[in-house]
Amino acid sequence: MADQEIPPPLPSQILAQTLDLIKDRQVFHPDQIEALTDLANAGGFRRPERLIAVLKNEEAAHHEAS
Amino acid sequence: MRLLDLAVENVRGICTLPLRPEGRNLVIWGPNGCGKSGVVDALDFLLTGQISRLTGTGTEGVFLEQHGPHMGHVAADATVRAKLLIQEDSQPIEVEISRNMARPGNLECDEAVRPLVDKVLAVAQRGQYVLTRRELHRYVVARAGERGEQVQRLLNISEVEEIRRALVSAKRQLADGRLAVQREVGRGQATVAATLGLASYDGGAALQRVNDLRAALGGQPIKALSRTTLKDGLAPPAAPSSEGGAIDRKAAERAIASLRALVDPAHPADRILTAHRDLGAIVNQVKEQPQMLRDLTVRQLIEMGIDLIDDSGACPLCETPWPEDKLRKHLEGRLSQANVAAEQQKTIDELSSLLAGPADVAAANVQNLLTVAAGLGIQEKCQSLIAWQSDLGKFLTALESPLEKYAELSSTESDIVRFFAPFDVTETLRVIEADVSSCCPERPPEWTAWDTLTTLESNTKVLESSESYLSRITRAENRAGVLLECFETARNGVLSKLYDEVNDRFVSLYRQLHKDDEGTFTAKLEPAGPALKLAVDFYGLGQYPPQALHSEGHQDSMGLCLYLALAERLTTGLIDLIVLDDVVTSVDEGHRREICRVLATEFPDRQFLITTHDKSWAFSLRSEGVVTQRNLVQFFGWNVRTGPKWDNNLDTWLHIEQHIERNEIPDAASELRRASEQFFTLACASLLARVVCKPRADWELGDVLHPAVEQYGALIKTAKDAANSWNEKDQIQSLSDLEAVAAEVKQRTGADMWQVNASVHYNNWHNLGPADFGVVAEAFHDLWNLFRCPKCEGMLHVVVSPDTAVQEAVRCNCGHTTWNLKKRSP
Repeated sequence: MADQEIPPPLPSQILAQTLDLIKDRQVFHPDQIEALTDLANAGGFRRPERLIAVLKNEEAAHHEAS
Repeated sequence: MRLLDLAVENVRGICTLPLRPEGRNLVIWGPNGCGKSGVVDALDFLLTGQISRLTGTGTEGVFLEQHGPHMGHVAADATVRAKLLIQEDSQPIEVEISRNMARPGNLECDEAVRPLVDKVLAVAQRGQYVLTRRELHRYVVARAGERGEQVQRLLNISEVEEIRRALVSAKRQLADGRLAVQREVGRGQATVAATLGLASYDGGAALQRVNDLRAALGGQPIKALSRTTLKDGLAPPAAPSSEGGAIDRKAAERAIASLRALVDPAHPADRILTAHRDLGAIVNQVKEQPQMLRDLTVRQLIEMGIDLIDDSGACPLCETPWPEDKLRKHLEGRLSQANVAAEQQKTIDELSSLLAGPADVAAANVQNLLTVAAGLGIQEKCQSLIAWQSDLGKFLTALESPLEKYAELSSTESDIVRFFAPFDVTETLRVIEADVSSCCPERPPEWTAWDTLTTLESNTKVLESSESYLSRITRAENRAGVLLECFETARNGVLSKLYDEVNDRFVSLYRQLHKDDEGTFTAKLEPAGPALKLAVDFYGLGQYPPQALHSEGHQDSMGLCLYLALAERLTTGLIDLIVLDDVVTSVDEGHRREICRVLATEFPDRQFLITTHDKSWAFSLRSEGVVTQRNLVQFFGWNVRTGPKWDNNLDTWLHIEQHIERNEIPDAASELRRASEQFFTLACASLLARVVCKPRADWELGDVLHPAVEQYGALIKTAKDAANSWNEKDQIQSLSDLEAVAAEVKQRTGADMWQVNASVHYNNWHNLGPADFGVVAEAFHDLWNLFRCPKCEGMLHVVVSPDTAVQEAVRCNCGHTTWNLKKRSP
């Protein structure tokens, strides 16, 4: 059982699909998607302030603007 | 994970209890209050460190440490131990674990296997392996919101709702931030306008003024107003006179001129007055319609409320429970009304902005003049300017929430005049102008232009910073909206897929349980936002909520099927154990047998721990082969001092044997007859034997023994004919052997004679000696065994095609015994 492939919990499945969906929307820079992925893996999606920090990310905004 | 051993000491109603299911199904039956659920609590505690029954709604004042141990014991006395069988790399390994109530968070086990155990416990923590009667009803009868909450708890996806709330919160915080930054941008534009001597900010007019200033310095025009290009290609003019200090006379004069223009009797400008009148009128109009005012006031709250309605459907603010989906619909209705009012809000915002622009410019000019006055050391002469600055501040604050504050602040036109053109500043402006004129020498125009551009660099730096931040926060707000939308789309997709899978399995299981009356049953389990709707077919007459038309027994069946479908989906490969705690009380006996068959045939790889107070249900579980005799445990005689007594040697034949040994033949005879009546009644039902109808269904042994034996013989004959048609020689031989055994056993029991006069034979048993009755008992024991699978010990039954009603086979639930009844087509 230790090596058995256990399907990810539903919240993880939903977050993975969310990240897939936002890739198709033109409003996110790849760096931001990467940061959101890291945030999702770290359980940070339950923290509005951490979400806001990523959504306002200076670096990504710079890339996006350029 | 399977349960091999369970040892309970001083937990809930149990003092000491060793159970040894050895990985197989275990049934505990006994009257209410005899400690059955204590076993479930003990297992719950062992696997999770808590007892679900002692947590949640309605358990206020009940605590694990105080109420978990058996009466009169402390937490340290309460321990649960178990030996589990866990698969590792397809190899079963035995693991011993234990937990003491004094240290509920500490599960003791061999550290080498802890990772393995932790994996199992992570699933157990979700409580997905236990179904109690209370939960059974919540799955089916509950409102959609509560059902959603219950199922989501089972699915361990309450985190999903937490994430959604965080996303909503992030979006709202960013929207609030954007509004604040928009105001900063407005103030920055006003400062630029004041520096350039504009009555209000206008990008084109500002650029024109800048290019005029650049022309005064011999520069070329620029195409856009940018801090970095304001002085592009310009060199500072020759050094000015030091007289007058750093005060820019021209700038001061512009500010004075600008303010004087405002206080001129011809002002305030018509457009300001018009805007003021319009704003005042619309604010009064809204205030005269309380509902509209209320809608506008709480519109944001309503929007937020809709976003925050959670799984329970209750009000997110006061937690008042609402009927299914009603709060959402109510708020959406309110929002629709508020949308009409929102048009008014839009007009109010536009008019507020129209008034705020020149007010901001006036405030900036007043500030500039106060700075000049400070430079000249004449602040004491500027009290009217200071008062004006204060009034403008109040006016601008009122414009930020005009519905609440504007009407009170500026109810008449004279009020607006006071804000834009106070009468008493004329003299102050004259004094400052005179001081500026006398103390600040004229500067060459190119220096005035240079100084203005220098000031403008500072102004535009602030403005550009605000605009840049506004742009960033607007994009972030947009991203937050997209993220929330994508999350909800993903959530709906994942949950819909899961519910579809569960729905199909649920329907399939329910159809098996109710194939006699609802073989074409359909149901629809679908997410409705965070809630979960369940509509079920009622005999082809339409889809209704389960509690609308179905009986309580049918609802119990639905709850059980829904739970089994969910548990199967969620625990496969991790926890094979499923606990059913007294869950089929409302299901009639016929359907309980179907439940037994479903448990045995659809879940052969699961280990069930079933508690029941119903002896007939326990008997059905035994007779259908769900549980072996040794794993059928009776609880009885509970008292505080000892907890329950238990007995798992309930085998009828053992009891009869004991009676015979003690020469208690009447007792032995009574038990044989009673048990055989029960057994052969079930045999008749399972093999579809014809029995004489009795209105009160009180069949005696004579009524059921002969039909069961006759039907058994007939089925063997049919099976032999079928085997012949398929030329299955081994099966023919096997059935012939069985037929011979059956004939011999039938002979020994004298089963044929029972049809003639049952009571005679029963009375005769009383008169037999131990040796003679022993022969009778042995013959009946052998007769029973004919009707049971030698492997699972479950009763054989006829399988009927649901489509054609043709008898297809005789089988047991484990599949070991199968007699095909269908002949090969010629």
